[in-house]
Amino acid sequence: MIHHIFKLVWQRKSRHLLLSLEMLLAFLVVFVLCAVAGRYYQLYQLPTGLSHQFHWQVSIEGQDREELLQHEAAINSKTQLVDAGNIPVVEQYQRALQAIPGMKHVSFIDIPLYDMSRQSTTTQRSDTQQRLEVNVMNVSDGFFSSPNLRLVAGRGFNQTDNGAAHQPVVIDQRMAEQLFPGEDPIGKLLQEDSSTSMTSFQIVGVVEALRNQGELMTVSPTLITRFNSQSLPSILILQLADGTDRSIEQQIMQQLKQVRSDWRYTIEPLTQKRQSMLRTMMIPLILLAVLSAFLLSMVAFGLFGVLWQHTNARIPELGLRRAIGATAGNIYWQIIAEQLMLNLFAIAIALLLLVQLPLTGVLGNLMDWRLFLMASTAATLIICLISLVCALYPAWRASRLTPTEALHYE
Amino acid sequence: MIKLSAISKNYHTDKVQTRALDNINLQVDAGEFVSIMGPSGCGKSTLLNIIGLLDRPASGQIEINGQLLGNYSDSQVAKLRNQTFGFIFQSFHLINELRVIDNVELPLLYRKMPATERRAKAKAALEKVGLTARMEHFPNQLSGGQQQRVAIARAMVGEPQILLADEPTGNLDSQMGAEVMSQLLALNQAGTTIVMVTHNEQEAKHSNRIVRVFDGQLVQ
Repeated sequence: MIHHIFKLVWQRKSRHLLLSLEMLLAFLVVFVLCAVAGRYYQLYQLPTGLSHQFHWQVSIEGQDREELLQHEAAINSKTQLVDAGNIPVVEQYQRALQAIPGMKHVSFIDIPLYDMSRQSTTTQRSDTQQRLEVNVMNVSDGFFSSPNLRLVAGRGFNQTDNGAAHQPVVIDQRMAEQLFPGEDPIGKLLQEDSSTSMTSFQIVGVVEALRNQGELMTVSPTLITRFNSQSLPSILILQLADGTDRSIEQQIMQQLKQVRSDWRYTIEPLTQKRQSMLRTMMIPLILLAVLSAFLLSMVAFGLFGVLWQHTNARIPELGLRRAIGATAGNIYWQIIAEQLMLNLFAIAIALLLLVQLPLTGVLGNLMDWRLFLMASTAATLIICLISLVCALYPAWRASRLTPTEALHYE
Repeated sequence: MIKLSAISKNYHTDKVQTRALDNINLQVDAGEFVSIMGPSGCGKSTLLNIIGLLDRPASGQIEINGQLLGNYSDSQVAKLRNQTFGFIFQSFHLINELRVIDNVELPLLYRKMPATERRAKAKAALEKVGLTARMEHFPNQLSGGQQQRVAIARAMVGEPQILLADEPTGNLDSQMGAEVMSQLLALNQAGTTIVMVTHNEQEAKHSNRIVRVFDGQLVQ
């Protein structure tokens, strides 16, 4: 019977051309939606290196330009710039915040977590001059105490790095794989690929991953540099004891004001920032889903109308089939099977086009074979389901006619 | 072989009820060639449809080979249509997108029969109607007479006991009509029971018995 249905669908291919084209386009749209959703799911499953529970982020604003320039000059000249009481500002914050009961770690970074910000640079291997575009993040020694930032080789930053000949850096696994395939990157030297900078780095550790934007950030090679204790802090990450709630924020604010009351502080729990970031990054997917749902509903209405007409035009043929021995069930399933087979033709053509994406690698990491298979399967099921739903009523109606009614149908 | 007892059939259109068949009693024995005649709209095609289980009567009983069909399910009736009856229609009812051989095979698709056996039977049926050379053609590449011979081959491919023909020559010229009639007579001589609806007295004379219908009733 399947061979017979195949023959019928094939012989009627010119009549079904527009319908097939409509299904093909609908499949492409659904495939894109499924691929984007699948990509988000893949990213969500990957490690971020970030911990958000019982973590707070403090953003500091209000530093004046002169003060920033003084600190920058001090860093460049490698002299020590101290505040009143001969203690660097960073250390003052450390001491003030560590005094809060339940405070586990205080660390400093230069770009906010769970935020759209990112900074990048081009770095190169000192030996082979191989270049790589990398994300850069500046973190203090305490940042490596974050439970999700897993070191897979070497170490994080510590006091032994003070005064080192080369700036210590930690890289992520992606960067290690791309720049040092099959080699141990620990101890290897890197250079910033900039005409204005002669900075050289030495790799002291490799972390599994560090994606500052959170779970839905694309995976890119990342370079982690050490936060200079002479710098003016702009972002603090506070890790507090389990069970700490938002009432702690008032106490944190008091401690911060003790250090610099003229600066402005914004305190946010990282859990809240993470949720907000996830919502923001889901917006394109939600928009695509809404557009696709609209398009698919149009396709479904169109499909239903075309199927209704096609089935009506075939009723005498179906009457003949009833007369020569087909049951109502045979008729019902034949119409549905024909529609599904027609779909599979359209899907096969669409897949022939789409398979070029993973084959040629034109989308790079965005489309691997696993994602392609996942998106293809999901899109096939969705399109087949829509077709099935649209075919049910015309098939049912045709199967209910008596052979006599069907044979004389006009 | 076929026994109709007190068969009635009504058609309802809007608020009008038309009695198509009224208390029909008819028996057709094995090997008979029966012609049903009557003016247009008298109910002869309705009678043939009820004999062939294409339609259900409003009242009355149908017996086929001694079996009363009152409570038969859709699948049981479909099986009887497939295995006991062969149908020939005035307008051929061939599927234009399928080749002649595929059209002839069609009734066998609804039996669990291997494809090679189906193909062999279809070829044999086409050979009997003299269309072996045309089996790879499509119906619209054939003349009307050839198309009706294909329909006869399709009706005969499952080796039914009873052949029901509804004005089989109605769409054909006299020469092609004669060809088709000779095919039907050959089948009857080979033992197939035939019930044929016709307007043509000459063709009806070939049958063993003529049944006349007028206003839904048998008149002789």
